[in-house]
Amino acid sequence: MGGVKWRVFAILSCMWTVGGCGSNSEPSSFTQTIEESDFTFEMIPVQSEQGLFWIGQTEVTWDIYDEFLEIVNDPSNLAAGVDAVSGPTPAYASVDRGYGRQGYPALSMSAKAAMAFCDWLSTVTGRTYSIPTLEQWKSANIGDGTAWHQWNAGNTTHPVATTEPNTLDIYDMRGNACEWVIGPDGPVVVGGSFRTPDEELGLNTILTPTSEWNRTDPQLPRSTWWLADADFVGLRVVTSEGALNE
Amino acid sequence: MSDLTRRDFVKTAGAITAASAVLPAWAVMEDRSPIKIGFIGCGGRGTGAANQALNANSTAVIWAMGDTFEDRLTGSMNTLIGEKGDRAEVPKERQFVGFDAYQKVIDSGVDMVILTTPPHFRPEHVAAAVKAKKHVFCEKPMAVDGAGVRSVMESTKLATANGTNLVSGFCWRYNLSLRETYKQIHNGAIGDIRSIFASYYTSPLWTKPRQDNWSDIEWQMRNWVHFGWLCGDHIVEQACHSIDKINWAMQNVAPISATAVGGRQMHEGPERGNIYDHFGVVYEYENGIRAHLHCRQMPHCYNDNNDFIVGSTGTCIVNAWDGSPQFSGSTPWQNAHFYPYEGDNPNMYQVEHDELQEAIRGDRPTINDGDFMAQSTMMAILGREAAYTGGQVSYKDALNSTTVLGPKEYAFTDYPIPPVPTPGTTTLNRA
Repeated sequence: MGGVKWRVFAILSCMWTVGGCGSNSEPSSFTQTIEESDFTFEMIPVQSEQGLFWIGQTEVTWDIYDEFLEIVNDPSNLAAGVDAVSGPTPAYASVDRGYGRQGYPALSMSAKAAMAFCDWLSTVTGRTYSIPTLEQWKSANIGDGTAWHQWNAGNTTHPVATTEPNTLDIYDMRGNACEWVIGPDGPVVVGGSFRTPDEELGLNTILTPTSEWNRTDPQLPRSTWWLADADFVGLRVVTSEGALNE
Repeated sequence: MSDLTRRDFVKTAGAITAASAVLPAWAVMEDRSPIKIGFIGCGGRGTGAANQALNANSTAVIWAMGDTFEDRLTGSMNTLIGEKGDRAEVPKERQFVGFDAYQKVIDSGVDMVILTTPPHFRPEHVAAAVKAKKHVFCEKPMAVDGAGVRSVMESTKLATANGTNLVSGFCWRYNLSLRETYKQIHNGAIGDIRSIFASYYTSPLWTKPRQDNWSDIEWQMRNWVHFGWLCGDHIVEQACHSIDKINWAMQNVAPISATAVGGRQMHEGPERGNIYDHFGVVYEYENGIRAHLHCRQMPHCYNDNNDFIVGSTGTCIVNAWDGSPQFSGSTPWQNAHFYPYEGDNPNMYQVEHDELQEAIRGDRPTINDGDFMAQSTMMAILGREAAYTGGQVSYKDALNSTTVLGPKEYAFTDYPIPPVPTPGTTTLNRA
């Protein structure tokens, strides 16, 4: 990925670089803050064959996804039209399925909604966020950690970062919620979920969305933002605009 | 899914004859001609229901459509044409717009109607359809006040007398897994029912921003889920599903009375209308059993949709969102997945229409959901009235209340938002 220009966030990098400011272009993790929100999340640097990027230490939780939902459904934003902010309308059913809200992975969003979330996140952070490419996700999937899967999860998601992280200090890459990535032929979900047997976690489970994932939405047109029958689908974000220590 | 949804209704002549014997001759479509569907109330759920009605039989057609708003009708028809092609192409002369569109659809030569307008209008539409001897699919809830429920009860009697089908959108009654579960409960799987708790905790619903040229009535109708006179409040509009499951567990015996708490803690702004955002109701039955219902529409909160039916020898838990009812106690049992059709787990919204059209064809006995659908709706209204008034309200008083919500006549006029009810001050209008 030659030619990428890094946006350098000097203050953040000073705060978060292990070696301190002034050491040698070492990428460091950083804490992402959000305009008008108390919510923050951690981003972890990953060196890959495709270049350097940062990936969310955890799956995106309802805490921040709800802020996104609230803003796109605010009456003044709705009145301003779709150009203002575009995103999911409220779901017909409760898409969290009662598994839990605060600290739990956001679920049941379509790929379009996952990307709209990234667009919104980009506008409120000043960094360009997206869902990972499959290659990026593979690069971050180093070492297994422990996972919530079909045999231990009890048929529900769990709060993020309640298992052991992988070698890169990233949680729940395997299990808990599957995660949207951009594959060679379009969006797919990877990693397996709380519904996936232990032995099929990680890259053994790459699922392509089908109409079955939204079979029981009783409305027509069916929601393009929510998947009524895919309570195992979540997301994690990446950016190439992280914190560099220079 | 295709095996189920595009089911071929070829049955033996003997079966048809046997079914016909118990029905008035005109009530059974023995000639196998296409079922003509009249579709009244062309919103998102209605369009879904119309599509399911077309799935139920490959020869069924949307014959006529009606809505108060032309844009809703046209949008819905285009969506259905995208799904089903010319079976959903309704000629201009059978597209009816306005408050009286429903009657024109009923009078257009249809065999059955789909009634999916905001619930305020349901009793009038059910009455007109049943009077015209049309088969009916009507979405829940069936009414927003006692007067509406009384009307639906009259329509139920007329449908029974006429032998026409009356299918409700209380969809869990058409979920095969829950049918088996409640059958086992009624057969004593958890002993005698001692107590029930049901929850419907979910997030706020959609709003549509007001346009400059919209009257009060148009704005409220296009945002009907937020206005009491149109939706009956969210306990009636949404949590009625949980209340219907309470009613089902109790074998459709009505409670004597209810007490309740409720209020409007998070909702604010005109776009959130005048409804509450939480209720907690205790239904009291003649045999001393109490059934409890909690419902909530608030953002950022924990959500679930469960039923806990506690019996003398065990407990049944129904989790509506993962669909795996289970019993604990003396006869543990879990219906994790109920696959009656060779591996297919049928969509209950589809089963409603499959069974309705089978009944219209005479391939199964006539369906009349009227009694339980009116009663479950009334229980929801009772819970609301108990919360609004702060009183202990009897089922009979709520049913016979003189309250009629909404404007006296329908037109696109001014209609200030009615006040938010205040417990201890708001009173029930007893007959």
